[in-house]
Amino acid sequence: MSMLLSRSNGDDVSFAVEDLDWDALTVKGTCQEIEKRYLRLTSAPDPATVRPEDVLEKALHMVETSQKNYLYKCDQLKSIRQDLTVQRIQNELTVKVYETHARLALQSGDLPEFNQCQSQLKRLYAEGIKGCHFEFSAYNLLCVMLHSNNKRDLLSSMASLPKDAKQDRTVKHALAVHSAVSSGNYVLFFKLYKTAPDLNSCLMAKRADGLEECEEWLKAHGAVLSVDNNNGELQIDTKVSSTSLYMPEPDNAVSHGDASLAVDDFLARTS
Amino acid sequence: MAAYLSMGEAHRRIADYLSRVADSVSSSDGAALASLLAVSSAQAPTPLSDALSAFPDFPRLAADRYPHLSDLLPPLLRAIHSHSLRRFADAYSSFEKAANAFLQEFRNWETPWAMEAMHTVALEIRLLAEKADRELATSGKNPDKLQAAGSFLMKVFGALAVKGPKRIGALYVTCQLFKIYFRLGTVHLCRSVIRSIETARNFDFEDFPVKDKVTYMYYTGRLEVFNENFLVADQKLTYALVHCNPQYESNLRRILKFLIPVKLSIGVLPRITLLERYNLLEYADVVTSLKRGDLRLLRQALERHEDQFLKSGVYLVLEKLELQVYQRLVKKIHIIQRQKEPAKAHQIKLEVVVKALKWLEIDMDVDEVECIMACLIYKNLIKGYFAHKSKVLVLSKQDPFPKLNGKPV
Repeated sequence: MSMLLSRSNGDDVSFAVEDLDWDALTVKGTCQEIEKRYLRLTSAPDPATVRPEDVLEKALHMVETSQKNYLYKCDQLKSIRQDLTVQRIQNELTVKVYETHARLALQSGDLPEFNQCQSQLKRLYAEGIKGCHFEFSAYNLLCVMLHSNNKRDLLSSMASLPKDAKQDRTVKHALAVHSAVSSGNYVLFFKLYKTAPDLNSCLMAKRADGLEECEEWLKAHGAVLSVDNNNGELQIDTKVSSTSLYMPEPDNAVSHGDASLAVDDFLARTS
Repeated sequence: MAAYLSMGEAHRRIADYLSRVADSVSSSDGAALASLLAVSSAQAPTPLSDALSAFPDFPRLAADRYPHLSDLLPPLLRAIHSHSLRRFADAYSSFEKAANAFLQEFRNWETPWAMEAMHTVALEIRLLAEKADRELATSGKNPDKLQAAGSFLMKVFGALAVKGPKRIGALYVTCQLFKIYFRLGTVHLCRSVIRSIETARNFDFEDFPVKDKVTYMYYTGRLEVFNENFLVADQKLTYALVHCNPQYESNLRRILKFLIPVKLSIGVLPRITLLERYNLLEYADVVTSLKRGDLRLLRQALERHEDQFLKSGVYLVLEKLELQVYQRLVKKIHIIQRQKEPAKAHQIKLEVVVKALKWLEIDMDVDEVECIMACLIYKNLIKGYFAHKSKVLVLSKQDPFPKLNGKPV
């Protein structure tokens, strides 16, 4: 065991899970537990604690059908992911596991976990393993356009979309959202938000929420808001608001009102 | 190609090359040294590379003859040899060793006599890295040589960013770094060199050679396009255009490829003749759509040339031109209404705009149109307001469609 460890790093540097020579240590698990908590590995595992592929499939199914909360599922999925990594299993099951975890993370608003799964999925799809890669391309697009300001990333995500991706419903929706955001067409944005396929709406949610804050801000600044009886629209009554609405001072406001008067000069001359 | 090369002849050729290198160093002949270091421009077998193949013990020959250059000459010969055998990854690794040795010597030389040679090394290391990465990628390995070349050039930059006459050569190396970062897609790394050039007191921008300044402005202009700082991008790309040698048409074309979208964003349209002259006809429909207010044409043009625009990075900039196209459309409606019924021309029913868009095969309802009109008012492309209940856009009687006047939307 120590011989394997010292083969992979000659000097006495402290190592992390990633530094271990997994190829040499690839274990064949024998554990039959479907439910297993996540314990972060810092050294080579005992095969009796690692579950083989068929058990992991059952474990995934168990998580998918479980009624328990996100924290429980997240923990179980991390444990499944670790067992897969340790045994170097990189196939459609692995993809399914990451996809499931990613979707759950999205629904629970856990963006960091989602991003972790997304980067693993990108790598797996790139190796040609089958999965819902159109669905996740769409999520990737929405992430880059709504949750970052990086134009270069957006450009390269759009450029790397395969030709047939644009026929996919979820990808089309994501591209339509981009168009709407780009031209400032928020009416279209909200329409798309209501009719979002898959989990696109979860990624749009951060942009879509903000209405309450907007209302509060307006009320605080003296606007009079009412709801139109006909179509439920929220409106500002500008006539009534015009007396109470707070207008901030312009930056170059002067107390005597005439910005072109050279007050300092005048004062200097008269003294 | 020599069918048979005697050991004596091979030895003679190698010794001749080595002595020319050593002589150029001892006589401070920068130009001669530069041409001797141009490894990658050598076309397939040369007399020297034949000699190296015939005389495999050349590294020891070099080290024995010129011990004071024993860090530079053996790897340099190895690089030439590997390159002639089209083993580019090996050629790169050897050249990098030679380049590091050269940089050490360069740091010790007081005067900048070897600047031309330093520049050749900078260019060559990039070209070799590109060849090496292509080779690595096709054989399924990780292409990391260009990144390594970038690291080396940062060291060179550090050696040049000093007080004294050597600093003149820094901009050339900066441009090589830009080319690497743009190729690798790691453009955020440009920031630190740019900061050094533009804020450090060592550099007076005007002192640099014109061709380096043009290249520098071209790349930094492109970066401003990505950041959508159109006014600055306009300044930089225009500088590059004006100072570029008019004989280098392909360079002019490259500059225009990015300058045109910038100009469009600030409301300046090129003539079709310009697009024809420089073969930039992918912009022709975009320009026409702006003139006509034809949203359908703009969208079609973006779709047709999508790959090109995405690759060059101007796609998002061109997309944003939609608002200007809407402005033109509304202006046309206004003009038509003025002819039919001048008294009420400044009132535009939103229904009319919806109809006009439908005619262009674009399906938008009244709410969406109202939203777009609100955007246009907010961005000062239209002066007016709308009567929400009656769904009418009321234009200001004075200058309802302000020109951009060189300011971006």
